[in-house]
Amino acid sequence: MMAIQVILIIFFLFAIFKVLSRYRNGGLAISESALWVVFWLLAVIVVFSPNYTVALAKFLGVGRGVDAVVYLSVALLFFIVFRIFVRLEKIEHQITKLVRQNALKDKNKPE
Amino acid sequence: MIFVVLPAFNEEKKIGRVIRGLFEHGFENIIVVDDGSTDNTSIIAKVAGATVVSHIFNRGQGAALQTGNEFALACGAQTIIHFDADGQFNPSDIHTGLLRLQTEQVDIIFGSRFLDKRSKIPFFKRFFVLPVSRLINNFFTGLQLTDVHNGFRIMRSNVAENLIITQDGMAHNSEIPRLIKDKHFSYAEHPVEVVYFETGQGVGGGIKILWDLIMAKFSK
Repeated sequence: MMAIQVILIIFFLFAIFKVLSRYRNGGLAISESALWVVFWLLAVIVVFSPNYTVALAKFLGVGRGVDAVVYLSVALLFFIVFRIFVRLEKIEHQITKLVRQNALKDKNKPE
Repeated sequence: MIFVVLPAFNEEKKIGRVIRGLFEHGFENIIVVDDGSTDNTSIIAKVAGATVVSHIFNRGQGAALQTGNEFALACGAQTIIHFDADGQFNPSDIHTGLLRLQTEQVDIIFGSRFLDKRSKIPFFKRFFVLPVSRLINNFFTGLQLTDVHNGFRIMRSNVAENLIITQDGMAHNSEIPRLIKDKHFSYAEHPVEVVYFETGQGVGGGIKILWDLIMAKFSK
């Protein structure tokens, strides 16, 4: 096994540990926790034996297995960043609404 | 009733003079929206005689204007004026603007610093920043205005009621013309004097506005 494989697998196991502790604290719903655990387990499998990705690469028409994984990861990352961005915008608007409500409360006429 | 709305963020040095100038010109209903200032803007505005509405956090000029509009409407405003709190504008332009609102029967007046020769616009701004902004703005709003991002506006209450500003930052300057176009309100441009103290928003601010406009299209 290469050093990078060891490092990545340790990192993924740590991520799974974090997901589980989050779930126990009630910070993450069961469906979401399960999704993340499956995701990180898949990552462990891919890193542990990269040959599995060759089939995926062939299916997608990409040359190498690692390339296929990198492409899919980048696409997924962009999607997640976009989702977070939209959520953040929504939260910003909600904060503005609250600040406005607070400012206008008790202020129905000029003093 | 005519209400003047001044969005203000850390303007303690200038806001007092602006409010006094407005009073001297006969405008009695002055609303300062203190947008989470960390200085004495709110106190100075109150002492000068304005009604102050305070945001507990800084939410941006667009958010402050929307708060000001809602408060003015609640007070029974028939006409709402947006005016900068930093003393860039000349209160006498409001009189001529109000006159045009009446005589030309338009719903909203947009201030423009390009319609007469009073404003001494810095070279880089006049020949680079503003033409580029104008192009981008016309693309996003569909309204052909000679000036973009001019904070001087006079609107009737029916416009303020129908104009919900969702762009909290500076992009409201593009959002307002777009809403005017979408809702088929009539408008006119009016020459206003703009006095320059420092360079204002600059190119970085312009990029932030463009970013806000693009992101607003995505997150709808």
